[in-house]
Amino acid sequence: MTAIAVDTALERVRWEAAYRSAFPRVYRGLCALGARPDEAEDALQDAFVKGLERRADQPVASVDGWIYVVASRAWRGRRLRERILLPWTLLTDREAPSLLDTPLEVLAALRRLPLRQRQIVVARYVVGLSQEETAELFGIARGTVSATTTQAIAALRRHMEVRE
Amino acid sequence: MTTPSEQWIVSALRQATDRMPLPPESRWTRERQSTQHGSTIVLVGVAAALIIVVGMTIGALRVEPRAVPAAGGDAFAVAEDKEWRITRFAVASDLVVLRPTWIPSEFRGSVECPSPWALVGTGATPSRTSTSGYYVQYRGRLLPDGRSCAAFELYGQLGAFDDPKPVDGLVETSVDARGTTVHVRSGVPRTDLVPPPQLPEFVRELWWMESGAFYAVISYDPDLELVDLIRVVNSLEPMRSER
Repeated sequence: MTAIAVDTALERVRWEAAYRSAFPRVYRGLCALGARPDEAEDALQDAFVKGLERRADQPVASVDGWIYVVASRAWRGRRLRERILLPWTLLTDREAPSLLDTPLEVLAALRRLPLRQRQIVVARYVVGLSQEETAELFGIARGTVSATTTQAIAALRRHMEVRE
Repeated sequence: MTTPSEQWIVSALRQATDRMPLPPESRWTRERQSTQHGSTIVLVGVAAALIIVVGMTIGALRVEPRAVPAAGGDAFAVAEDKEWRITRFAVASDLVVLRPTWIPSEFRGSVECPSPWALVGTGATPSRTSTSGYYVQYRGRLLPDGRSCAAFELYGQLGAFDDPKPVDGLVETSVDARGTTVHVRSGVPRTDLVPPPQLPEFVRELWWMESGAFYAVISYDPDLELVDLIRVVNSLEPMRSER
């Protein structure tokens, strides 16, 4: 085995270890965004393969964040393709009372947020990225992450009718 | 994030996601195989042949009623009830949510294919908030490709809806159900688009208008017969709004 082959094998082992470590958080994050379990699985596998193809001299600041962003793009692309047959729009901003148990309620409320707010809330609180990491991965300013997070939490609070 | 209610929401979100089951670890890193066009054609051919054989066999063996009402204490019934409650909770109150009182028992899910699954609030046009809809998918066995699940889906969307554009490979017809005309189209969709979009290998769609909304039942399972889909359509009953 040549030195290059050894390096490649080691890189793959490192990547797979990092990917496996990130999988639970990112998988659940995609499901929270609205992906079906099979879609989340497919999207993560896409990200895994893309990660293997990624050049070793292009390191990422946050493996979790990189996988999350690549997988969520893969999921969105798949959803859009599926809509070729039957497009549909699923949105509402109605107020809703607290009728369900809390975990279900918060997921239902989350699914009603605009996609960008959902992505950032999930990045911050499900995947566990910092404001800086989130800003870098989404290509936006740190202040935008902060403002979007605040708006999203406020919207979730309204949807869930939380009283202070 | 400073207020107790904000911290409570974040905590609730983490609790909710922590409860989501993960797929078996053996599936986390499955590498993609490039799709072989030839093998796809063979698979479609075999599937078409199996439709007739399996369909006839299932029809002959089907003695017990396969009613699956959303009642009872089994895990499926509980999961189904939760998904529909999420759906009713999340969509506009003026949209009549139609929930099936009967589904084929093959779609109660499996380890690989949990069922059902509701999806709300992921519209492609986030700025549009005046319309609303829902989507609930019932899934059954893992298909021979080892990746996808046999499934059928229920849609509901407020407002008028243009008939879907004709798609090559799909045969269109109609049936009478729910006191109205239910449009049907089925087959293996084809497209000349380059690059080709990802299309299902088989699809059967039933759609109709009712109570000012558009509804559809869509199957990607060639073994799921039209007669069963019509039975699902006829079994749909409005969910009471809990608002």
